[in-house]
Amino acid sequence: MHDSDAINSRPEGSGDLSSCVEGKKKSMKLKDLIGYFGALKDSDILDDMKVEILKMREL
Amino acid sequence: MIIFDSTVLIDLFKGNRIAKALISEVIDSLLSEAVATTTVSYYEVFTGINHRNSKKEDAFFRQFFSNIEVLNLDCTAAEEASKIMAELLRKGWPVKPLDALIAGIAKANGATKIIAGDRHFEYISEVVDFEIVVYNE
Repeated sequence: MHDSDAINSRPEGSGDLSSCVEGKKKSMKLKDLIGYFGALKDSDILDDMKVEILKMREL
Repeated sequence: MIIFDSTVLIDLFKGNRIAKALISEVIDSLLSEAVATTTVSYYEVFTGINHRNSKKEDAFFRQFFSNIEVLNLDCTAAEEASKIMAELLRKGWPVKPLDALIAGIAKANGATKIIAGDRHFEYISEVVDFEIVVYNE
């Protein structure tokens, strides 16, 4: 299969990748990041996600 | 530029006060410093979200990643990561590939600091010329 055919035949994912556009310049500062403190404090899955990430790092 | 690793971001969003203290007090003088994360962290976060098909966290992190610089693993970063890993291997301190790739991305993009929650970064800090703060909850 030609490379371009392979790209065109990739299955469509459900994810919106607009948040990860290459070369898209952003200007978040540290003070802006701190504004996110506790933004997901009611999340049921973040603790499990963190454990999972640390496990992935061990693979 | 300060690079934040995924586990530190998660702790900040969860409202962990130790994470906030680290960010707001230890580096108080750098409040106007640009912050970034990496495509490795993007991968890790969305692995957890897609695994659980969690819509709330999906929407939050897509919005967050659209605002913060997400630095790519390109050939330059991979080259830098390979040099870091090679130096660690010479010292007998091999680390996990994802950690080396994050450090390579940081090096390739001229980062001044990585804030990470993974203790393996302590080894990496011995072989790079930028600061690594290892955050332990």
